[in-house]
Amino acid sequence: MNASLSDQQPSPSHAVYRIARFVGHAWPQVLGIAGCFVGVLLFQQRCDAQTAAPTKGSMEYRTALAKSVRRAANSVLESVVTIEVIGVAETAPTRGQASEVASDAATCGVIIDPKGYVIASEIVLRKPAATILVVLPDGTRLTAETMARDTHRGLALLRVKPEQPLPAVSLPEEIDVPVGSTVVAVARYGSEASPLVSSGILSATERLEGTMLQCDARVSPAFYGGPLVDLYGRVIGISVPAVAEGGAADATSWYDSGIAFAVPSPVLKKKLPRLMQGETIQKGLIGIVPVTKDPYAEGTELAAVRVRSPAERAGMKAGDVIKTIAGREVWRFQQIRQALGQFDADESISIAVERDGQTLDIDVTLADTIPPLDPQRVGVWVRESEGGELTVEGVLPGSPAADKLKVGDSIQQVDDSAVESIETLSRRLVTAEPGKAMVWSLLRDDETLEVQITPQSIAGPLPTETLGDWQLQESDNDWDALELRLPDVSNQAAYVAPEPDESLADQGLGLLVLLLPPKTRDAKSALDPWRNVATEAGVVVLAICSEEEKQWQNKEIDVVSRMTTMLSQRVPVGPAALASEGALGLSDASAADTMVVAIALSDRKPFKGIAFSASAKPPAVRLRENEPDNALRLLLPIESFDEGPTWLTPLKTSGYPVVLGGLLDEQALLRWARLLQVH
Amino acid sequence: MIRQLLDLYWIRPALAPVSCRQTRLTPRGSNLKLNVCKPLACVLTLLTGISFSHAQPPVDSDSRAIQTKVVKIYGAGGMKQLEAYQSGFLVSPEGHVATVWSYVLDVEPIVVLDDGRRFEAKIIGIQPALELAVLKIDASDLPYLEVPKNLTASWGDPVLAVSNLFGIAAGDEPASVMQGMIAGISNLDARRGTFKTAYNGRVLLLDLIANNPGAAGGAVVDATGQLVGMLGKELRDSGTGVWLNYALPIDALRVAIGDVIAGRTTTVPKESNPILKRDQSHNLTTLGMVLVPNVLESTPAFVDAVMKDSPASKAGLQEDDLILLLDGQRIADQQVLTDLLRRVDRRDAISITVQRGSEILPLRLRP
Amino acid sequence: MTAKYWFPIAARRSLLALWLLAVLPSGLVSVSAAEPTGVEPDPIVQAAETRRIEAINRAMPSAVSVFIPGGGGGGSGVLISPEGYALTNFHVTSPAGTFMRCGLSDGRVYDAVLVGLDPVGDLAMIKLLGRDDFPYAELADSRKARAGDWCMVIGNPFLLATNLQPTVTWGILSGVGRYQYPAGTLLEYADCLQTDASVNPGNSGGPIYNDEGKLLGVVGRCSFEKRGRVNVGVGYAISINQAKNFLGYLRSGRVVDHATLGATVSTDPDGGVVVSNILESSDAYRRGMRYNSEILEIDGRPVSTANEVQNIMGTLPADWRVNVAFREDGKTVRAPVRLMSVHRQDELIEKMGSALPPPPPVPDEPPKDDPKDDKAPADIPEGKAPNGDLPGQETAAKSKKKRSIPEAASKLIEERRGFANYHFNRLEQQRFLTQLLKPFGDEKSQFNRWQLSGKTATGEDCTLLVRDDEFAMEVGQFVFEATNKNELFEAIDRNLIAGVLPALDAWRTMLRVGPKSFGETYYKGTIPLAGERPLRDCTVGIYGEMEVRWLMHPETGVLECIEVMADSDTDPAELWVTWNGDQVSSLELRYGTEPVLQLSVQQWNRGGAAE
Repeated sequence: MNASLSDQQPSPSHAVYRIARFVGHAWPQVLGIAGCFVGVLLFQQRCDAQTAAPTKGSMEYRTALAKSVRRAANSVLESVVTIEVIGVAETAPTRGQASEVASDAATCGVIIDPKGYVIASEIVLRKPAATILVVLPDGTRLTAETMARDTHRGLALLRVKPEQPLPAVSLPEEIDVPVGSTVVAVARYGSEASPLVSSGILSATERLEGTMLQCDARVSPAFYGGPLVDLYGRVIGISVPAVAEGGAADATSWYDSGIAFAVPSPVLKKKLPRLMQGETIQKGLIGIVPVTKDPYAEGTELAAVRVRSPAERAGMKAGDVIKTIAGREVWRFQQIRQALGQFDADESISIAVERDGQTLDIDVTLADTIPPLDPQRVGVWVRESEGGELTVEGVLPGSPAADKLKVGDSIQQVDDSAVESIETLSRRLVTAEPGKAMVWSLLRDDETLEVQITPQSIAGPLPTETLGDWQLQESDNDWDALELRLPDVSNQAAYVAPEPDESLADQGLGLLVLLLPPKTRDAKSALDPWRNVATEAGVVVLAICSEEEKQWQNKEIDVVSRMTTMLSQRVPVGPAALASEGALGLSDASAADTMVVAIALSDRKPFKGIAFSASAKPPAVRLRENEPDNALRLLLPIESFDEGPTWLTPLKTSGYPVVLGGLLDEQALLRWARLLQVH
Repeated sequence: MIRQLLDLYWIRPALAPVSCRQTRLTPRGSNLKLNVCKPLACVLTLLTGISFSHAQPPVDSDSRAIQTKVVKIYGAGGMKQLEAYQSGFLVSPEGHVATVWSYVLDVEPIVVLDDGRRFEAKIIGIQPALELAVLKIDASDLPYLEVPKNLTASWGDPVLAVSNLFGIAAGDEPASVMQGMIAGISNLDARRGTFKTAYNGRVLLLDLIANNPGAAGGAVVDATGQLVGMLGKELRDSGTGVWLNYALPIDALRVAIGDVIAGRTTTVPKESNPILKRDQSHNLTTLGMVLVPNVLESTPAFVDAVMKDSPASKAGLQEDDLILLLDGQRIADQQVLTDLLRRVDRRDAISITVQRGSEILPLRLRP
Repeated sequence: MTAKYWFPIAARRSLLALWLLAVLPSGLVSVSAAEPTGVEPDPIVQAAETRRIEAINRAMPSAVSVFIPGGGGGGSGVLISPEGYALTNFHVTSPAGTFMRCGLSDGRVYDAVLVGLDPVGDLAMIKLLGRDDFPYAELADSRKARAGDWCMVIGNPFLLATNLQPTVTWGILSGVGRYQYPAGTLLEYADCLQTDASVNPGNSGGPIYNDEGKLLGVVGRCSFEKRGRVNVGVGYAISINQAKNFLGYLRSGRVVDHATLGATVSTDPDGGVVVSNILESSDAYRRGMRYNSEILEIDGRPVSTANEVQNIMGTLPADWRVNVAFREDGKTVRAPVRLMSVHRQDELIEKMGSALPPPPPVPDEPPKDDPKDDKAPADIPEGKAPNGDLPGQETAAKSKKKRSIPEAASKLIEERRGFANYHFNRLEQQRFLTQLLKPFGDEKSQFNRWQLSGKTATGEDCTLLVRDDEFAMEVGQFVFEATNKNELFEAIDRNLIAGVLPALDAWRTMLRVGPKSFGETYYKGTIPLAGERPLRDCTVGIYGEMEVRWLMHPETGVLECIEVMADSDTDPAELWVTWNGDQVSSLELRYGTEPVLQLSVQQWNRGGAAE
């Protein structure tokens, strides 16, 4: 047949595209028919058989590599022990659980002192166990006592009582291994404690805020606690399970992924004395809050200093600009995190800050905890002008700021330092001391004046007042629902928003990201009940469907935040709220509610508040402290805190303010979403 | 997306969504050259071997040689949303293919060679205890992997694993090559149910992620190009929840492969014989066994109870035994078992193979 | 990049270790370094280690960590030019829209803007700002790559590179020439590379290098099915050779499409690829390809299966003209064939609209479906950034302010329907005009009226005249006169030699009025000239009902051919220009592959009264 398709199809190329696609699937068939032609192949195939021998070079190299790897491993193997955790409540993991890996999975340890000190991965202490056994290479089992743990690096120090001294590895004080060098993870496996190795290259150093070496060896749980050696047999680190912040539900989630971490030996060596004395080592916290929103942007000015934090004790102040940390020069906040990340609680570091033109050296002693946030609010809506001037755009009736601040006021200072950006103001308030009056110096009709405002906690009942009404655009029919899509995922999403136009930028549009229950497959029509209320309330609503009809999966966390970012590129909106339909008083909880919490606790960067059902199931993610540079608030359809789920309490004590929404309806939810821009 | 593809494969086994240029570059072309000026070619390979432009001498020629001996196998499974394909490798020039014994072989499989030729294969023998199956295709003069007399492998040895993992290759696309090393050699922990496999013995643990869907049956060779193992099925330690990367050592398989090829042992499924009248054929009661309640869509044939003095008890069948084979035919589930019994005259004795714990036992039940 | 420490070799013998730890103060441990430990890697291995590390050091500076401001994920990329042009994935830039931040291993962070998009091939071009001496990758020839070659992947998996030091993973190519179906959306991976080097979320858009540190491709996807978002030994990369085909297209700031032959093929049971369906409107059909023709070669690459054809077509840009060899009733035909686009005009934009950067806020004019309908861009003096002289610019700028895009970047961003970033097309149009004017100088009056005279190959005298309202030619007995473009349209449609006139006049008019007033003009990118490389710069303009294409040499900038398309299913008129220095020595008119008029130019009067 020789049909021209142009008459059947409006567009030739389009038609061909279709055929191409169809044929794409049909080819196999053709091949199938094609199947049995023999041709000259037989003859050539024989040649293959003859060329089977590997090239000399590759054979030599690979056999040489094998020797080198074995030599390196053998030089430490006598000090590598297996660690058995006996009698753990939870054993084999079940799907949907935080960890794929059972708590009693056998891991490894390294003898670091002949007297019987064994360093292991903290994973052996993850769940209370009846006993922990150290299995020596010769099969001898010794019961171990836990001396100490380094929660900062995920290590545990165990102690066994051997009859005679044990062969210990010696940890180097310093290492010099370039990225790209072959490294070998060493362990023992199974009942015969057979040697186990996995080789790869050093992928990077100073990972996870400067604490870890990274290699691409396939490190499975059996290697945790085992040594990472280079081809000279030098112990350069101890393999531990770890993932990046918000990277995965559980520290073990990345086993075998080719992204493996090890605690550098020199660091461990430094920490050993403390561990041997039974001291628990924890990450050191400081309590400083940056001005900048983007940690990769230049600028190290402090927006605020946490109440009763090491920074405050050491006399650091809002407005300070950090120059060096422990001798390291810094010009991005990310570098500050990187530099601080390596220090433990109780360690003192010296920080050079610039204040009023002078450089001061401040010694700070880091702490293991900082009193949890109790984010505050005065009830003001401000606008930031080009020159970084803040003018009052609105005041929330009945709020502390009511009849203290007036629309048009220009905010000069809060307490004794200037506020030049909305972020600064919000972070100042989020970290403000509850019940303590703040002095706001304002410029009103060219006159400076000072007012005292005592902020109030964000936690508590949802304010019934709202901002000045959102002015509808000329066309007062409801906003249309448009599709939003990421090219690489199949999640359906749609949003209702006004036609983009210049006036929008300044109208304080809110944004509510709505996760739909898995059973809902059509995002566009799911928005129907929202179009009118959204238009009324001046809040853009983005509805996202799960990929699969059955569930929301952890991998979709990043889908949601990418879509949110994408939308904020299209419509100028204020801070984003994340919610599920379950947040509405009358609807039931679904997987979406759990997902909302999961996202908020993992990658919450784009979100300032979340709303979810009181009967939501807790997600399988690690609980993190609320952070002032991205303070998150929770809204639930409850009258009093006790109506919330039991797991709400740990959230509260981690600094997440709980807003009591009562019987929430769409209007109330959207009002709350828009109020996220009120400080 | 992979899933959709798999189903596609299922609907028409050996369907190739697409093939690739690679096939043109590889031996077909280059070997013709070889025939003409082989010495030269060898010299060249030698040179590239020690060429210093490379950070490390590439393993491409090695890989290519192995790819030509690895086959793609398509069979059953798609309907159950399982991968309907796996890998295998040629062990004789006459078209004997070693692969893992799995549900994929519940139907007569289709074998697609590296050059894209497609054959309907016969299952000429299986060895449940080794999870091994040997297929035969009707071809000759094929490139094949020598099955070595004894295994000279130790931990730390570099290996290449060649398989059709995820069914990426189709038609005349070469199978996928992965590199890594033998991480260790260890017995599979025999704790009951720790690993859902009948195999109980030494395995080669690998430090590459080899055991993916479709990879089972792939070949593992060492730096000298010698076959050292066969990639096993996906295996997850139900005790620890950890996926295992491993291969069955070739020395464990050697005898079985040889026996099957030599026709010494054969467990070929019988030609399907007709269904007999109920009162003439065997059934569970005539044999004196009770299986666990058949509640699932496909309930495994676990023995729940054995009647006193019944053929079953005389043969030594026990509670919790899992029936794997009946007269050499694979018992996928209870349904299959009862169907097969309907075809056996109740005056005849039957042979079954059961898994008890991690042992595999042959039993003969005489009426 | 390395943990800089000095390292004493430690004692291994247990007793020695015991003795040391028990007796000696730890400070003296280094004493034991003196003693040989016997643990020294084999020299062969050491050599390989050194070479690998060298290769990594060569490659790493060109690797980019992409951060999406506002925390919308991120990914990787790779620099391919000192001016800061870099490649990444479309699906990486998509959430960012037009602006992102990029970190290099030198520890610095650079602003970057979107340049061009290839949604079908999942490629995006971005430009890092602030330097003209960026480190960049040397491009390899990915067609030479074989399964089993060592390779490395450098990038920002799981956005771990908070210290801007990327992650390096090492492995081999597990397969080449792989095909990966479009996953739900348009992302199609044809003729791609498969590697066992660890590739994880965040590696997307980043480089895969060979073991010499040369760029093999752009990492794009993985098989994650088994364990959620964790690598299981299978990663795919778009071959750099495919990317090479698209570099010019991407630099045009457009949203570009892929090619189709206009015919479908199937593998013949007896081997070979045969045409199973062909559009009569396709150029392939005009070149004589028919149902059942056997296709032998496409763009210099022999094909033997239908799948190879799809694998090759998947790597070719829409509207390219590539050499195709096929057999039709016994004869082997080799001819340059114009490929069609996979999508209808605008279909691609509609399809991907929901994933593309936002169009500018409400233009004053009713929104147009077709970029070609939009008002032509204003010409802008060299160097000067495009100003807000377009409808919607004002507000576009505002909303950018809201999105806090730094000034330096926002002035390089111009959103326009059908384009990823129209700013870069402006720049290319400017370059085009400058090159077109070069032989003539910019005295405008000389473009009012052109009159050429010369001899044809057959020795006949020939004169040509073009000006705004008069087009005339006379060759021997043949006389053609026209007063409007519709008649010229006819001339081409009927493949008359008078087709030389519209080409000549389009040239003249472009020189006179510039892209701004010529009729919607845009830079298309680089395409082969009648199937031949090097790729030529191609600029397109609408001339009456006709579409005109100027093809210029990439280095010299010399105009080589003007193509004028009348009807999509007839051959366009091709005016081939031969230069002698700044003088046109001869002109040749072709339809399809046939020369219909060869003219050695003796006289060329330029200028005179326009009317």
